[in-house]
Amino acid sequence: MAARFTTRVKRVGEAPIVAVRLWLRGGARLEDVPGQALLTGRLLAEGTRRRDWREIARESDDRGMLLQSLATYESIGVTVDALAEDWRLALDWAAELALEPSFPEDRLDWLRRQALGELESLLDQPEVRAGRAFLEQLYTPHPYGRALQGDAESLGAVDADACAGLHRRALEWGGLLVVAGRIDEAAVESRAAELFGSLAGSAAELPPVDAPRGLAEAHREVEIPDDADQAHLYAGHLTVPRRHPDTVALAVLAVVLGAGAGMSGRLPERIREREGLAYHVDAATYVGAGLDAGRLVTYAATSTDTAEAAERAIREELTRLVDDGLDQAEFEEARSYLIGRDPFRRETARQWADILAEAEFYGLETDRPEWVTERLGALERADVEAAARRWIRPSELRVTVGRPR
Amino acid sequence: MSKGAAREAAAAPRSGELRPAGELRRILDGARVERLANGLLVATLAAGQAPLVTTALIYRAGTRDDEAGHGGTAHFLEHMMFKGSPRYGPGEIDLLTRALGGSNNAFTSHDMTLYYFTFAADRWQQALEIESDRMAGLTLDAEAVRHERQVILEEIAMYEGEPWDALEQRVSAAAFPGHPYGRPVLGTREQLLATGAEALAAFHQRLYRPANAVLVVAGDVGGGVTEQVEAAFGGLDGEAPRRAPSPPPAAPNGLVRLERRAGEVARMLLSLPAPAATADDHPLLRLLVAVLGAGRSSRLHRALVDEGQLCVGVSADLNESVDPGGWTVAFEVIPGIEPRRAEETALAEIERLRRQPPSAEEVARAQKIVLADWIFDHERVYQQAFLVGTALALFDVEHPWRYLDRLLSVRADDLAAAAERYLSPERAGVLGWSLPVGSSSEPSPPAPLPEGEGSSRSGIEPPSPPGKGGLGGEGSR
Repeated sequence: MAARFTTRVKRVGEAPIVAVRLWLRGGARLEDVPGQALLTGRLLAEGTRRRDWREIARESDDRGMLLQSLATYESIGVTVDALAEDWRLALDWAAELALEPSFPEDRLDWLRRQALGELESLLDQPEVRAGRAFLEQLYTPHPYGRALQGDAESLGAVDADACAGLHRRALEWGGLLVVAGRIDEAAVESRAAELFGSLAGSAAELPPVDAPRGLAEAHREVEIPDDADQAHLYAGHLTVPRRHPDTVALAVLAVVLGAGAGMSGRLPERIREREGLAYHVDAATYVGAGLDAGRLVTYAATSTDTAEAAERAIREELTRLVDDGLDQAEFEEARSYLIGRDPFRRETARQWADILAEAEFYGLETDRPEWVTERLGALERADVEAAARRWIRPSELRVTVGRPR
Repeated sequence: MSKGAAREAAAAPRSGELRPAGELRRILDGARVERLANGLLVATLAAGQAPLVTTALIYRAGTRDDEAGHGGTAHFLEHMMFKGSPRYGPGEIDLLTRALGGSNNAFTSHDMTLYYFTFAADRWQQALEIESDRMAGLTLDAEAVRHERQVILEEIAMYEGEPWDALEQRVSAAAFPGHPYGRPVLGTREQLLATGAEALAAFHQRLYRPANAVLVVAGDVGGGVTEQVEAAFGGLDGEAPRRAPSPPPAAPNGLVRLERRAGEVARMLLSLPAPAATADDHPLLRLLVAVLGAGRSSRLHRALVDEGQLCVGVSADLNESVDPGGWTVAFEVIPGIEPRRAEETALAEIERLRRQPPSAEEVARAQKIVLADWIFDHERVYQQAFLVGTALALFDVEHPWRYLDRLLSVRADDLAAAAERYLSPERAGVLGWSLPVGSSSEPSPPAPLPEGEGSSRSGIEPPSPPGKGGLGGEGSR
């Protein structure tokens, strides 16, 4: 059985900053009703047994803290970024919000309306609306296929008891605390043990979720709110979860396709640089991967009359990658890029806090720089080509094109 | 007491409460500034938090320097800097950057254009070779120019489709009539079509000169930086013309209203005049803007979000520009709420702050938030490089310190005059609405500003920021 609650503490950085991440397992992946996890996560900052939302807001602002309660598809939790001199306060606040929430009904009513407003705002942005439809196309009925905000009907079905219930279950499923920054590690560990000692023991097993099947249609057109002549094209399919051993090879493939420096990569070089079809072209190979599968995503913002040409180019480049593989120089450049980039991810307290939390949450070793370098160094071109044949499937592409009304 | 320590003490009037201002002193004191014989200003900034080096090259050449009829040239040239120079063919800079595991990018604002590379500490010198080569000259092949023009036209279309960007563009044009800050950084379609290799080459020849540039080398730099910079840039010709002053921005007369119909959400952007970044009033206005919009307990957050429950979120921002610029308030209205209510509430809060300056407690909170945000925003090597480079290019290296020093020593009583000067929408401002297509809500009439106490509100997440870089505007490749 996995430990119910783990703690990671690391002294890093030169700036006087401390970053606290407290994640409890659960999130929208395990909610009963769409939007329940979002409301539950956000309610953590709306009142505790000791303070109401006004006091939380004022007291954190008084210290210049960035305090946020949140929900993702896999967790609910609290993040605090604070000046290092306030490390104890940051830790105490995270514990109070996560362990003693009061779930005030009046705040729930407001958060419902705010979530709906937020959803409407997001869907009013052309690329977001098209992207949302693409996720639905790939993941339905899995929770990744729906918005974290749910909809008006589902939000109306969530009451304070439901939020308290999901929070109770999240505490049983367990979680983690990460503290990184210019801190005294021993002092932080000691205080963390005092605050979170009640979460000792083993974690309850996570229940299963609906597997992603996707919508039947392989090509989807959606209307987007836009008064410019722009189409937003998404093409891709599911790949692997975060712990899958092929993620390292897939990272190399992403760079080859277009996730590297500037406008380099096969897709930007062809679609933007050679053919001038789009200003923005992007590629990722396991974006969104967590406990469940992430996805291959290629994206182009293009004029409406060149969307077909851009889609054709994407298909041809993916097929070429699978059929013909990589040349050695391209492989070595992509690998070198990833090795060279790794220190960029480890500059600040907040970056370290996120890396440690992710490593702890998914059972990864990515928090060790030498592990990353070794894994990339051991990779051969043939390994990457084999991963391309396994995980890039041009014949199975799902495509969503958002077009102006 | 050292000079630095004395400044720090002066900046910490409340028993050490604001001590972390020393973080800025640490960064600035680590900067060594020299000038090459050809006029290139070089700052070396030692920062050892990661084995990385950022080089940032800033030209005092921005949208304000575009020739008449060739709007967008500064930004167009920024794109072309990656499309061919004597030693690097089209696309080769990106390929080389990728092969070395680095990153690069560039952006253009009204006041300047900045190029940067970040590499591992053992290979950062590659950036010097690239920058000196393309400072010396560009190939500007006609086909490459035609192709990149098309890419920028796509970029313009993309921004026109983004609700905040489209609104911001219209508000900026109205807020700075006759001044370059009102022009779009990307230019217009017609201006781009009128701009070819010749105009780009003339702009490059005129302004991309050592004496018109600042180079910052920041991070885990090791020794011999000056010698390496001298070797790369010392042979380049330095002179550049002085930038001609722009006409002072003519503030709108009264509160100008504009409206567009797009999408399904009501969005408001209010732009009001602000002083230049070097003006004594600027830090004071920064505090007033923070009292209004920084943090969940700020006045606008409470009135519009957490208590008023009218808006999804709200943001209040202040530009730092060479000439007098603007400060803004932006929000998105909750579905079903009459936009006019949100507008009236926001204007009432601004009016209330003008009539009743903030309490000492509010000022102390705003100072703490601004300071903490400043530290959060300058943790990374590239952020420190941009800080020092921008200060040197547009102001002077001590500008950030003077600014923060003044901001932290302000007391509540000092703010009344600044509030009177800058919190008066009815005297000069632009209020832009983007209203849902087919909605029945009419834009508010130019009614007298309501009095009124803060109604309510708070927000968990702010609305999407209106574009890149606020009204200062910037384009990135």
